[in-house]
Amino acid sequence: MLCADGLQKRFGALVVTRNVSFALEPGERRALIGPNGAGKTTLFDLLTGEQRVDAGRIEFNSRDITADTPDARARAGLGRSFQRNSLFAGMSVAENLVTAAALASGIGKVFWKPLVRYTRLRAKAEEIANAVGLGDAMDVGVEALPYGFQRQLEVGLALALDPVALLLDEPTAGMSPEETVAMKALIAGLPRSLTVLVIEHDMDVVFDIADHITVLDAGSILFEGTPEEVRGSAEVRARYLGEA
Amino acid sequence: MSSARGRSAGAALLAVVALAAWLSVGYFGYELITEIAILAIFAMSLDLLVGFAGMVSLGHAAFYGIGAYAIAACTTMLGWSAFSAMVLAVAASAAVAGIVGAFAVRLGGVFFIMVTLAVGEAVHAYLFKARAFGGDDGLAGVTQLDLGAIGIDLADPRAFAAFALMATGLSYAILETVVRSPFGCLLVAIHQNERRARALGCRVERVKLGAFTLAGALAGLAGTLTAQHTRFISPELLAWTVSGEALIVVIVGGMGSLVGPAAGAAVIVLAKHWVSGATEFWMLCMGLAFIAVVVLAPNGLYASLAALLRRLRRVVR
Repeated sequence: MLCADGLQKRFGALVVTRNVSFALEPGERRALIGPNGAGKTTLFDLLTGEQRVDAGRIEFNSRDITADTPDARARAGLGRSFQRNSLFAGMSVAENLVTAAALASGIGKVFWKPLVRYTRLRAKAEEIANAVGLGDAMDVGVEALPYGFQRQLEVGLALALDPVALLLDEPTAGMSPEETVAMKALIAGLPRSLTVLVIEHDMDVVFDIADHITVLDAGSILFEGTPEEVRGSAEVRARYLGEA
Repeated sequence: MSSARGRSAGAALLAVVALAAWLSVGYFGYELITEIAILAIFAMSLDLLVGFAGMVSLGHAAFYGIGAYAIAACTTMLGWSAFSAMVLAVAASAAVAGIVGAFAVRLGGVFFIMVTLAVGEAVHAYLFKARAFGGDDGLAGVTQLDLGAIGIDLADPRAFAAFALMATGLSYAILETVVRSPFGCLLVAIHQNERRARALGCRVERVKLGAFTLAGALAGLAGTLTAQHTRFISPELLAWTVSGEALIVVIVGGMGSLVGPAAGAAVIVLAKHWVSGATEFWMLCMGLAFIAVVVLAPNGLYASLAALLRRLRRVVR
């Protein structure tokens, strides 16, 4: 349902994405791992359209989206979270989620009716806040929110888009062990209809939630397989897992 | 950023003050009220861009001037009624804003500022030279709206002041409706985090263009009022200092609060009136006062007043 075919990206002389191809099945849970600088986030940027590919083709729901803008891809159901929190900093948790829900429901053109009249948006925001563990923090301003909560909201915003495919960029980055466990449970509990591609460094999380793992190294795919196969691969152990 | 409830309270307060002023002032007072009301519309329209959408324009006077020139040209040269001329003038301001915006909203930060400044200066330079529109002499004899049917003569300063205040109220109501709507929410969201808004599917340019066009239309409305008020227009209406002054009004009043800039308009007009009567160095005094406000009340009068009210409420409790 999300297919990349021969993606290439270079910044000057540096090739950051080298002939990357993969295909996600509907409902698949795929982890993208690799050392720092392997080009994982760049690959996300190519898939979501924040960066243009130099060569290659991206297909989403059997449609070529290679030339589409990031917002067009989002409207088609491709949601993402960011490695570094990217929230609406002047708003409360509720306002963040309502904004995302308003965008998802396509009412952005309405300029004559108060936003607060759309009670279903508030209901949806509450539902998502509960799902990501922010049910009690609805009216807290983002800037007053502890880092771990901000991280949860980061994922919540992506969920509020009602995505068909969800790209999560290191959702547990900087989280405490307890918060990591909660985030893992959250990802594991996402509806199976949702396709998930997640960049993650925490191997416990990766091996727990992924059906398939793609290992990226120096811009190209080093290995692809089930968690068992990845664990058994001498190459991956040498290059990435270290001597685990 | 202000709350909807805070703005409503501020608007109610300003309405009462305006009514009281209108009932109590003398002849010259009506001139000042009218001037304040027109500047308030102009500044509130700029606040939609600067305070809510985060688009700092230094060329907003272009749309103000286009509104004024359009009504002047239509009434003096084509003999149109002031009403049709007003409608056309507001539409013309909106149309030009739409065209300028289509290019400008793609630019961020300082580039947006420079493009709006350049467009403002270009329109000013054209009208300064254009013989058809009176060149640097401008056009005199603008017709006022004929409200004789309801027994009102706008040539009476008292009636015109009331008319201008009503137009200010209407403009505020329009802007308040917009900033409370989903569209207004997206405007603020783009201001706070454009990248995220885009990643959530927001058509960023379209939303910004909508705001830019509406702000242009309301600036045009303010222009049609000033043309009817003085019954004379000249390229001075489009000088970049007019845009700059509106920006000062927005900053002094409080960005993103609508009622703040409206109050700021009153402060600036009255201060200008009193200080310029007292000293020749009034521009210097105004400049120093502006610096003092920015240092002492960096978020503008609105935020300072809101903070004061909060503290008072706590003391009362």
